[in-house]
Amino acid sequence: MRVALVTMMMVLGCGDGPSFDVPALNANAAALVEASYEEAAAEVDALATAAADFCTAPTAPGHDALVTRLEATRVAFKHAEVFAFGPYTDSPWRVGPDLDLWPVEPDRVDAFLGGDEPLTDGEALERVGGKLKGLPALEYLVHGSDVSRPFVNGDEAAVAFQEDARRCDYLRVAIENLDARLDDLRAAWSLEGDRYALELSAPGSTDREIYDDAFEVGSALFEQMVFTIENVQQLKLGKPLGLRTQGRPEPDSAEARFSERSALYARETLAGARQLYDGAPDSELGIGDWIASRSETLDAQIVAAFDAAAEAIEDLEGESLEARVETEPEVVRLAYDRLRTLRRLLAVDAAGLVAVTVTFNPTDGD
Amino acid sequence: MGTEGGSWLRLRRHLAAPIDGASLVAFRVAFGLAMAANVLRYEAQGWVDELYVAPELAFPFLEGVERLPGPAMHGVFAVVLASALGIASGLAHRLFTAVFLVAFTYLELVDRTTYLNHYYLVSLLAALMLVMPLGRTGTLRKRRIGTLPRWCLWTLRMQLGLVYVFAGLAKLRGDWLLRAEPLHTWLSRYAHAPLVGPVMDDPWLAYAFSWAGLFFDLFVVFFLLRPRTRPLAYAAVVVFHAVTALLFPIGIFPWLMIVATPLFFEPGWPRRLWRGEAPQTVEQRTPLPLAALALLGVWFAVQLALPLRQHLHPGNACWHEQGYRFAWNVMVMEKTGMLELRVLDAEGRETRLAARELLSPLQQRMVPTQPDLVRELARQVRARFEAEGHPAPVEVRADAWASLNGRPSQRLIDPNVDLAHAGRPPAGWILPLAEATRR
Repeated sequence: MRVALVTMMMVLGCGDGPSFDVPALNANAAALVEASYEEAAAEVDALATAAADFCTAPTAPGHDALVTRLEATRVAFKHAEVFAFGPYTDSPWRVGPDLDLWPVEPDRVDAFLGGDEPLTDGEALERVGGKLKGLPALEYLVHGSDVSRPFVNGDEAAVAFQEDARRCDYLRVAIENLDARLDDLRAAWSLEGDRYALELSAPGSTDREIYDDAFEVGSALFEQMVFTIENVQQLKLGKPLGLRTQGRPEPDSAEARFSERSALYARETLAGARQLYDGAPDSELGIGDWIASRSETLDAQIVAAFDAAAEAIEDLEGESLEARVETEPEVVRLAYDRLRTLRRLLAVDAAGLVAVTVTFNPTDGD
Repeated sequence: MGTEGGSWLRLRRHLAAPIDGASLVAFRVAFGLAMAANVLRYEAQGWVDELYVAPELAFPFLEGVERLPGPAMHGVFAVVLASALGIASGLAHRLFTAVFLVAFTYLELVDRTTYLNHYYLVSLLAALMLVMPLGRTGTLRKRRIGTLPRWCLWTLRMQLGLVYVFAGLAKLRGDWLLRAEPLHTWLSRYAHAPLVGPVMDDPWLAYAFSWAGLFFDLFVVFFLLRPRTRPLAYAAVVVFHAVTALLFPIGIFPWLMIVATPLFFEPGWPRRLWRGEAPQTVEQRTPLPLAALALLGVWFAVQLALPLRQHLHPGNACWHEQGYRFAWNVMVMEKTGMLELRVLDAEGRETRLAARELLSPLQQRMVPTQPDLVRELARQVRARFEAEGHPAPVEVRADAWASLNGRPSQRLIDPNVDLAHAGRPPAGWILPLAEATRR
């Protein structure tokens, strides 16, 4: 017995500290969520100002400014898309469909625009479905001439807003509603509100019982990152490319066909996932540090794959994605394939290495 | 011949001889209660709906064994619950055990993605219990515990022994012995845990667990059979299974083994708990029927052959998974995978389908790493496309990657093969494992 005890103590003595601090990763992720939505809120405020300015006196330069602000707002939301879980998707909050349910259905927006429902404030959109509000509807209002085409230029847009005062009302209340729902989302995460951030930084400290421990949180963040990358690959590129429809391109399924910024938003969504992977530049841990603690070689491969995928998507941005899937599908296909490589390295190699998806049958195991 | 006949006769008399039925009764009761508790756990966790009702696709072991509608699946679980309690009660033993065996085994056969080694063991134990006269004594009606024939005890002991020994043999692999995988990966999951965290991430602990697990599985039965070493061996059983229950989500298995292995103690051990008087055992002159002995022989021949069949297939069975199931390959691999199907109709038009579009969350984990399931999925997709009117023949190819025990990912399946029309494994479409490991 004594020999066994001494042996055990020697074994225990061999430990030299955990090689990676998963709780710290989770806490950083919680902080990143807050920062991401704070950035989005600031952009929504700026968007509201630009919309008010434009609607006061619709002009082409005013429209350009509005377009710039809308793009910045969507980029901020794309960065946060990797955190589209918890209050974003789950009851009782389920804020996501009110914020960013794409692709837009322009005929429904047109019908609402042509209707007579009172458009006084953001509350006016509380009872309508996600297809009539949020960022995609806003984009159609700002960019869409009609269901078939975007405005040719700022002048045409300015005229459309001058001729239809309800378009400005709709724009204003849609931004107000976006702002309100984003506030709801931030309140759900906030420590002063529903404290969902604690699910990441201090699992088990609330009565929601979502995660048992820090490792489960880290696993969930990892899976969410991979899920986001798969969304970029499958939904934002693969679907318009026609990979789900016998090779027949589906440009209407692109994320932002009226602003022709689908590729940009795909890249920015990937950038959001990359942010979670990299962590903050100096000291804050990211998922990449977790991988590197097991294999620096794999981490380097993943970083290279992130870069290659982002570069391939950036190459799509010169011309609209909607056109590219028809004229140069091979260029879109290249980006799709690079995203698949990235996803494989994460979902197969890295997941197995850090055991985030231990393949026990989740009911009982082996 | 005369001597051999005499040996057989002595063996048959020995096996038919009555022994104290207390340990067998205790096992029967514990087994029934454990199975009943398992059903309640499935319902409480929502697993019946999640695993047996919600998935759009199923992967049955046998053609024609199909899932029932949702309420009926819950009904099957209710039947398992009732029959498990019936087994524990000892009343109408053969009826309850038969019902349990059929219902429980149906749940296993209906979907390969839910296969678990220990549920297979449950079916085997239930099948053996069905032919044993375990309802003869120690029931709610006949509470006094009498005798039962010796063959019942030894049959169950042999079945349990085979599980341990084959689980040990399955660990005689390079990954387990030389890389301490997958235990190192699994234990590192606790690297952040308070107090024990630093140790759990240490490779030496994984090596210690791996080698200890190997020796435990290979030799524990031997030590359980020897009276002198039995108490220590059983203590090892309790510690080993309690540790695995603590560290890994393996449900009822550890507890099932903890309540089953006392069968290796002398048959009257439970009487020590209540100081009961042992029944009188008289010398048995009637031997076990030859046919019964032959049936037991066939049973155990099959039990030996099934785990060994994986060695008929060249390469690493954890990778190709041919002959992998029903072979007590317990806890020997961590395998992750990714699957995308390329569906081509007769006019060459291609559709890509990701696993998450087709499969439930559990199936998304299980199917991409198991070649026979990928082929089955391909066949179901082909059938769906052809039913939807896509020009036949529809071909389905797999972009399937997997990583085994920390190795770099590699293709699992030849991407140029039409799996919808490919033969069953073993077939050339499963690509061999490159043994390179990551630094």
